[in-house]
Amino acid sequence: MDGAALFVGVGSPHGDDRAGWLVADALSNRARAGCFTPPTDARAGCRGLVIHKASTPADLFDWLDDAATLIVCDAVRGAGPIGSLHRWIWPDARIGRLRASGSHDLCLSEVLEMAGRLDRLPAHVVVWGIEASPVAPVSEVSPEVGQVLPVVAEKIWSELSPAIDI
Amino acid sequence: MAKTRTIRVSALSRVEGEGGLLIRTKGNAVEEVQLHIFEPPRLFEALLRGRSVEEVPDITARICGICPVAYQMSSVHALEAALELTITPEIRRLRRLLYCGEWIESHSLHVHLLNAPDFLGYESGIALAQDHRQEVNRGLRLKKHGNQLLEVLGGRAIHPINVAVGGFYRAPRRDELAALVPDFEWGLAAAVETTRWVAGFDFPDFERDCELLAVTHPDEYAMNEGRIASTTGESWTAAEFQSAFAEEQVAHSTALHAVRQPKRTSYLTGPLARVNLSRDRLSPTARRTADAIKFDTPCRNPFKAIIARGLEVINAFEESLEILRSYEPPAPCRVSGDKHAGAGCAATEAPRGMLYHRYAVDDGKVTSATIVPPTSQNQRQIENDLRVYLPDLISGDDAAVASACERLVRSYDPCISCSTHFLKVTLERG
Repeated sequence: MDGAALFVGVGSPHGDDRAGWLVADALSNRARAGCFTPPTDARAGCRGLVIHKASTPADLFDWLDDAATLIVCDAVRGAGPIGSLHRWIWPDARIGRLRASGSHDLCLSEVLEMAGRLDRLPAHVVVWGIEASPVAPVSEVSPEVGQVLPVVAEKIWSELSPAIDI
Repeated sequence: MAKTRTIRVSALSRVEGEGGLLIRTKGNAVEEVQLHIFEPPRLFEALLRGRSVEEVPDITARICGICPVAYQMSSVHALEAALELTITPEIRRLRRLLYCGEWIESHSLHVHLLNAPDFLGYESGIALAQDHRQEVNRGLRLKKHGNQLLEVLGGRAIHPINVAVGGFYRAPRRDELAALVPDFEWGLAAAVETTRWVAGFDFPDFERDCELLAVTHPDEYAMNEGRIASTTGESWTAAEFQSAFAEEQVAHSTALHAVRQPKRTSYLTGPLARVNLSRDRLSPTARRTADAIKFDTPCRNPFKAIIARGLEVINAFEESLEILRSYEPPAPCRVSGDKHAGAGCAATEAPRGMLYHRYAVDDGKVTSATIVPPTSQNQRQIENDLRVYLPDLISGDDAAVASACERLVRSYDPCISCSTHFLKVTLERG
């Protein structure tokens, strides 16, 4: 393959919004344990796997250009019961219908759509959503979300493995 | 008998926050224009009462995710005035650098993704991206470098956490800032390209006769300090703000309208006002670019604010580069003093315009707070400009009128969340 497999966990230090970052941590640990090149900074190099944590979906623009495949994981609201998992293959209108957390920057569907218009989006893009409870500042994840984090990390790892030839 | 016509723009897009616009006409006469801000008041001034002085910059940063630095800057300067703290020149310089980051990220977003589509006939920044990839990619990268500055200096790009009363909690290392130099060299050249690009847009002929107001400083393009100056020739210290200006409640807005005293007239703040009042203090490259694109001042055409934003992005990159190249970490990075009772105020220049804060403090706690955001100050001018703009449009269908009005409102880059949040437009025709 020409480019790396890119995983981006979108999140913040607040409650269930941590989910994307925690999945990124789990994948980084898995990559370290499995072999290969030690990760540096936020970037875990492992046979073409690049893992990043993003504070906002617009951060994706910084990393897209070298990616052959992209998996994004973010906390979502409004798509099911708390702790439920969603997997969408872009483009999917359901991603655009998710509740945006603010109007300060581009939301995930806008970033993916714009990246597509700019010819910067990998051909294969998967979005994992973890249904979040209402977020309190600097709080821990809810038990429902905490319980599914290892599950989603395992599913994403399995999905990434063929792409990065593990 | 002339019929009443009502046009409602129920959701003004590409502005920060939520509000609405009602336009009522009778025949060809404009009867009513109301910029509706219907978000519940956010009550920050009351929320600050009783909080420790140290908490204020982090609380006020929460007023806006796009211009948190402005709220931090006005608050720390006002509190330092209240506590009679004098910061060092090195801390002052670092604060200007932080403000440059915010101007870059905020202006780059507005110029490329929010406002440029209006001039090129696209419904959104996403639609624009298809045909103007180079410009949109450039805008995204410019914004990113502004955010990087906020991350290094502020700890994170949105709602930074490193600003303290008296300075910074931590000064960045020299190598952290030096690493940004190559990107900022690119940014300076790219900002010139952007400004030349937007200067070539087709602008409506809409020169207004309005008062422009901005903080000005004799030696620099004002950000953090200076006198509040008007195109009338008058000027005031920040301490005189509350006698020269007033805030009024109107039924259709949860944000107060700021007006000039004594005649309760509207005025405009923001990049267009700043460039008009301080053009000769722009950085050399920004001045040269303004001359090269023949940006004539005085200019009171609100649509041309996009050019002023471009010039300010150039200015911010050039000043940032100068600071990045010569930076030595300030020691100490924070000055402190005693917690005596007092009151102080400050006006600084947020990306969208002048931002006034006043605090009274006692025993290290806030006893009263007053915050006058730029969009509150511009609201009445926006309504007045719409009244003048509408007669030439009114023969069009409702959708065309609403779209043209939204376009004018966007040119002010209103931040409705700051002033209280999204715009709905209602046009009533008769």
